[in-house]
Amino acid sequence: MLKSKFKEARICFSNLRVTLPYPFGPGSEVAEGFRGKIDVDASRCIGCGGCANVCPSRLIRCHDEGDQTHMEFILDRCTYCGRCAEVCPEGAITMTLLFESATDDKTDLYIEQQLYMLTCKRCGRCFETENAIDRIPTRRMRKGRNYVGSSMPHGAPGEREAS
Amino acid sequence: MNSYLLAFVQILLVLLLAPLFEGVMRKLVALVHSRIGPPLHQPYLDLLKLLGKEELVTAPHPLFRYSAVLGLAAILTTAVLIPIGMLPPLESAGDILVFIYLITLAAVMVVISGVTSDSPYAAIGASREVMMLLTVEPVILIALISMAVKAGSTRFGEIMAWQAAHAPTFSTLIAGLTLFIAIVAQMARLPFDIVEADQEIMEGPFVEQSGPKLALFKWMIYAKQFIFAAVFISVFIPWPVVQPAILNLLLTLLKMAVLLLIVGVVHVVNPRLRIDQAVRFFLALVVIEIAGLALALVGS
Amino acid sequence: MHSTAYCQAVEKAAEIEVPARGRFIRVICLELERIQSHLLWLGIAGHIIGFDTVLMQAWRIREPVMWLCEKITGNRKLLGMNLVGGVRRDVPRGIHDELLEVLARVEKESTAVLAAIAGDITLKARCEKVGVISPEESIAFALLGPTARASGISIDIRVDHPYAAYPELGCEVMVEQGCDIWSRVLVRLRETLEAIRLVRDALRMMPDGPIMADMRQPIPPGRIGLSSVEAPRGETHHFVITGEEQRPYRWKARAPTFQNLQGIPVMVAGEYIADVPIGLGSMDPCFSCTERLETIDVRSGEVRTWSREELQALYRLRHGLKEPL
Repeated sequence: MLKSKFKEARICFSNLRVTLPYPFGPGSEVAEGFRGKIDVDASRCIGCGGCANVCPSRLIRCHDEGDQTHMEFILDRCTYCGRCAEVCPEGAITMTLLFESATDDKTDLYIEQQLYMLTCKRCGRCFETENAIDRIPTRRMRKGRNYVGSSMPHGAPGEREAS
Repeated sequence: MNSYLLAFVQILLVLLLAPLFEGVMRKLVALVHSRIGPPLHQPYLDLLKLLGKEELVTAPHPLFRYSAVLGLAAILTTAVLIPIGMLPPLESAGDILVFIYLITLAAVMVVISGVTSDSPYAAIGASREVMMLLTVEPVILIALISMAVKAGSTRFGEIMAWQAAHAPTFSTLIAGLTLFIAIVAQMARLPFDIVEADQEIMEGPFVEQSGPKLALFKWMIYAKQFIFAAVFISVFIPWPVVQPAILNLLLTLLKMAVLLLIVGVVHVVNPRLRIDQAVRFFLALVVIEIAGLALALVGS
Repeated sequence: MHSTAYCQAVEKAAEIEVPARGRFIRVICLELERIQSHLLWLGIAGHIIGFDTVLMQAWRIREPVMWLCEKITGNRKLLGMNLVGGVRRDVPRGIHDELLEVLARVEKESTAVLAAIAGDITLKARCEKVGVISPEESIAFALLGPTARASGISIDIRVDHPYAAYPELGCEVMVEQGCDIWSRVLVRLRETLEAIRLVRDALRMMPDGPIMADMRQPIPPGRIGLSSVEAPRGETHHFVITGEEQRPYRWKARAPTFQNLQGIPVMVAGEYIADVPIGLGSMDPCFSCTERLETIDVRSGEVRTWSREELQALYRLRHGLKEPL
């Protein structure tokens, strides 16, 4: 029996102090390809709503207001599954390596976009033209704000305007 | 006058140093667990926090509230009777038998806390404490009596002096080893951690205590740890005896720390035994000790 | 586990065939989950009997497995790899060497733990001859998973009804005859080592090709699919009836723990109180998978299962709420 106790003690003593004093010190590196918080690029978004269609937590809202498509991401229940990033046809949604999303201000987890679009002359609904030339003026006027509250501790993606 | 001052100093020593030794043990446990562990002064912070919390009195019996105070008082009384590297301050007031009585009183206070709580978990914890009491106390008693028989006196000071002057023999060895195991049980360390801090019965007798009373109970446990380490070192490993008393005190504290580290090592490599297994184990130890006592009586 | 079972049920219903590479990646994820689950269980079982060292060391050994999951799938625990028709992400050949190296480390440490605790008398004193349930009782209560395999019953869906890539890989069923908690510890540790072997073989034998079937055809409604998966705790069954608009019409998941819990009264009858937590823990219960509340009237012997509406009404009554939540 003492032999097994020695073996156990040897396992313990050959690995001392593997814990890190996070968050009072740096944590461990995340692997690349980690599915962290999403980052939405308004300049690439075409308002197709594909992300809203696949989000399992139903967090993404997409609706038209006049000649703008408003997209709202309320990420309090986000499961970081990454389906929105996968189905986005324009690659507007990317997953960052950030995972610290604890906050006491819910607006820290909002992403909103106002996308200026062309409107159908008959029914008034917004659409994105396939013609690249027609797209140029509309793309210039698309705005998006990521994580508007911005009281997140480290490195939250800040405000970004399409230019 | 001098001995009363010394008694006061010794009580303060026990009160103030006991959480430090607990902190050292927690660091050792954390080391074996491959983690950083709490800082050394964490037990002080725990006690301070608990002392400032609200006390919820959930049972009507008056002894529910006073058991903590009486338990700590009993242990601190032993502090003036035991040697910590030097002669016990109030030696004339008690010897090893009074020490055993006071230790038993502290254990009975734990039982009372368990019995007066209205919780079934506490009742189970109290019954376990009684079973441990009945089997562990005889081991401590017979070990100390073996030494008393050899030294020809039941006073701690004289036993210490006799041990320092004579080489260890067979009966010393038997008494020492069995007392060491009994101490592991009294300090509530694995594998005999059966009474309290149980994942099985949720802190056992202390489940309903809260706030300052819980702080006093925890302090009682830390002080018990300190006291038993001091008794073991002073009675069984009094060498070397160095001359200025304060230096002897520091050396004893160092030896106590080493002893507690060994207890810590035993603590981390063992799971908890069941109460029936522990009782059987200690009854076997009692039988071995009676053999040791017999050896001591014939002078070996 | 559950995502694989659901996807397999829908694939059976819609007769979609998952390409080989996708099936192998599914096996890798399943077995990594199994290793994670068993190492976590070992820690919890150690903690229940007070052996915190086993807890810390088992969870330390489990960390590289979490890293493997993060590298392959993007998250330590919520793998999210399965889609109906295949898997989402590939395991590119470039990272295979790294994965194999980490796997070798986990295997070495798990083997060392198994060797170290094999002769531990105090541990065996708590685990041997405790929580005993005989093979006949296991069959009578229809116990599943490692709980049954520790009583000598050789049942394993990976061998009895193989799915994913198990027909190509083969799987050894670990059976012990001891019928007590110690046997369950041994079964789970040996299953961990077998799972490591399976992941290694899957990485080696994975054919090239697509990871996702061609899903351009819509899934026809009104079809039935049933799929079973060997979860770390036993058999998990998912039953799906496909419906309109690519959504399920009916979906029932049956997890193994509710069934395993039926064996507890036999296991702990006549034992000490100290044996109840470890007996319960040795079955590795996942209480969130037990979705029913049954009350038994002791006087009349009546057994009543509460429905969701009844539970909600009870909650409203208790908390003085008038409106539904």
